[in-house]
Amino acid sequence: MDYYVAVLSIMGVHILLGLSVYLVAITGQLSFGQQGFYAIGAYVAGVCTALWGTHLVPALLLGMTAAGLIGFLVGFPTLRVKGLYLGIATFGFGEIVRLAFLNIKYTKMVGGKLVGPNGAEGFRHVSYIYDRGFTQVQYLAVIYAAVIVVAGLVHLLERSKLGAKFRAVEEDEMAAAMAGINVTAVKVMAFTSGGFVAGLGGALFVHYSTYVDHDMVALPLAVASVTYPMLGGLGSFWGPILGAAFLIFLTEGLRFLQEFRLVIYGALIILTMIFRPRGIIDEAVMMRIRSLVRRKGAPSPAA
Amino acid sequence: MKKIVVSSVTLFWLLGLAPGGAGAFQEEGTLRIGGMWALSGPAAYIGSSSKGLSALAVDEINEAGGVMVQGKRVKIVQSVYDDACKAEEGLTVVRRLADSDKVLFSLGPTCSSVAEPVFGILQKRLGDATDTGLQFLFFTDTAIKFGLAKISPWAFRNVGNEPAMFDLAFKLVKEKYPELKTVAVAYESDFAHSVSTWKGATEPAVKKYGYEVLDVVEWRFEDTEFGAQAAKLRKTNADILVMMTHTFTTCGAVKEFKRQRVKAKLMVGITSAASTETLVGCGQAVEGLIIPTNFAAISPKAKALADKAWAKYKADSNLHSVPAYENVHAIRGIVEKVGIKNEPATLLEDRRKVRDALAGLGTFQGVLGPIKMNGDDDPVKPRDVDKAIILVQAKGGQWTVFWQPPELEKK
Repeated sequence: MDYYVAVLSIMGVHILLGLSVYLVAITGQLSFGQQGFYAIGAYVAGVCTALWGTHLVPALLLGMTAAGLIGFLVGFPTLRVKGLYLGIATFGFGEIVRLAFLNIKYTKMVGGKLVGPNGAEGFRHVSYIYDRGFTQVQYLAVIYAAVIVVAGLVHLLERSKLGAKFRAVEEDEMAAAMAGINVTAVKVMAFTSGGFVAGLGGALFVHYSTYVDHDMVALPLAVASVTYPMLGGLGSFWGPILGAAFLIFLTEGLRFLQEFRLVIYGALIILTMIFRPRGIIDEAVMMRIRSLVRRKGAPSPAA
Repeated sequence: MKKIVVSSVTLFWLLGLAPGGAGAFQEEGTLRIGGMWALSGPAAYIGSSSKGLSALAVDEINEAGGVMVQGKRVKIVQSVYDDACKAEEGLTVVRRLADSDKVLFSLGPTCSSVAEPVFGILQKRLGDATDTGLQFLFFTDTAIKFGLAKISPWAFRNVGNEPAMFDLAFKLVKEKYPELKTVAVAYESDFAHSVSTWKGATEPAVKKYGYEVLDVVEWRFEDTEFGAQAAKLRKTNADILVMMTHTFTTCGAVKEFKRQRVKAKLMVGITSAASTETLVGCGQAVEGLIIPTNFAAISPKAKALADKAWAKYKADSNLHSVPAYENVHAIRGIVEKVGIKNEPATLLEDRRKVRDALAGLGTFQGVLGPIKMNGDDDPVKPRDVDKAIILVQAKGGQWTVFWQPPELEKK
């Protein structure tokens, strides 16, 4: 049971990471820097509970707020670049954050242990949930409460006028601007909200793992986070959720193959992308699901 | 085709996610142990050797009849998983070993960056029900970063003491080559072991013995291009090159050094590089490299073990893999001594008994000689070992003994 809870917990934080990429992607921007926000959330929330002794909830809120504010600031300079150039710029941001945490040292003795971000040594002893007697299942509930709230908000966004503006900017920036949409505001809003969500994911993760270091938020995490919405589909917020679930279960399911699993893992992703180039849940699938739901919800002609 | 893809994925999930058979243990005549190592990725060569040496120990015990538990001989069954040297994967693997496979203890992990969170989720306050950390025993063979066993009383290690190893290495180098005065350093900035060894073990030793550090260059664990760093090191013209880098990058770097004519009079390497992999991968470029280690095939017993491990599992015997062999044998002795029940219902109780016995073990027999396990109350290195240090040097495509303690020479 604990094992499955562990897999679901890791999946939960990766879903948040996938949703953060998705929020930026539905405005037509591709970010390879969401792991930077994830790192900020992890370090800030970890400092709150491990060094300052704050409660978990304010720590999570502070972690996500710090990441969201940085997201707001990052949103402006990235307005000047698009496509691949934006991808490189955002990856550059992620690397800046990673290298900053490689060098930041802010430690103090807590209960006879040296606690806090300690440069390349990492940030150890973020043991709030275990010290406070949280069971694995209880913390899983915390993670999925966050996932449900975030997914619900993204769902509401997609059905709102603001969501339509996001999609309009994705479809054609110029046309959206001519229709009176403030493209700058939409893009910055996407980065800010993406920052909030990734920061929340990082804050939840560090309390689960008790440890974070600069290497855990490097390029492989950036690639994984972008893969979730790409593989799952950009048609709905279900896409990154499905993508994260698919890849995390694949990682676990193929573990018995040891060194050969990366070959199979890669091949399965390639096959999926060949047969579903816009992801598993693309716009066409979403339209079909919506029409199905509408048909079921409509009164029958005989009635 | 779609059906094939979907069916394959589902089959893999079911195969891979299924728990181990819960009905084993005493009634079926088995004792379950675990192992988690990096079996894929750049650190796989280290993990594979540990896996091979632990399998060899399991074979030896089983061929001799098994482990005596409750008056009955039971066979050891080992569950092994690949954590790919990734922290997140380590977090799920440890739960799998502890909960699904219900093993008594685990060997590994390979990477210190995996050990950090994996030991972090273990219980910190023994016997305290309000501490919900995992009650699971590790007897690590590889993750060598200094101080890892301090994280939890459930974490034990049979690994080298790098501060002592590099202190000895530079002391002996100073004695043998007094004319060498300057050093230049290379390390992997993103790899926990590399960084901590340079900062916590090598740098203090270099300073203690009065060497002047002319430059420090860095690269990443998976880098393949070292041109810029080689150019910097060449300009220093240092007497000693201190390579705190693992085999994968060491081989690429020393070949580039040769191309750019970086001429140091001596090279000192990181402990993990004292493996056959380094000799095979780097070839002539590492000729003369000196490394402190805890294992070399210097006795008939050690040589026989190395030959057997290679013949049976193609596993290299080195300072990381041999402890896996030693740890399995040590736990067998403890299990027979403390009298565990080996039932699913008594698993936590059994783990605690073995943990307590390991903490009070004192000295146990290693391949080269006695190994002293420090108890919980050791102020500096609780649950870590003290054992003989050897210095090896690459000469003519093999590791030769540069220095060994007098008590080993007598053997």
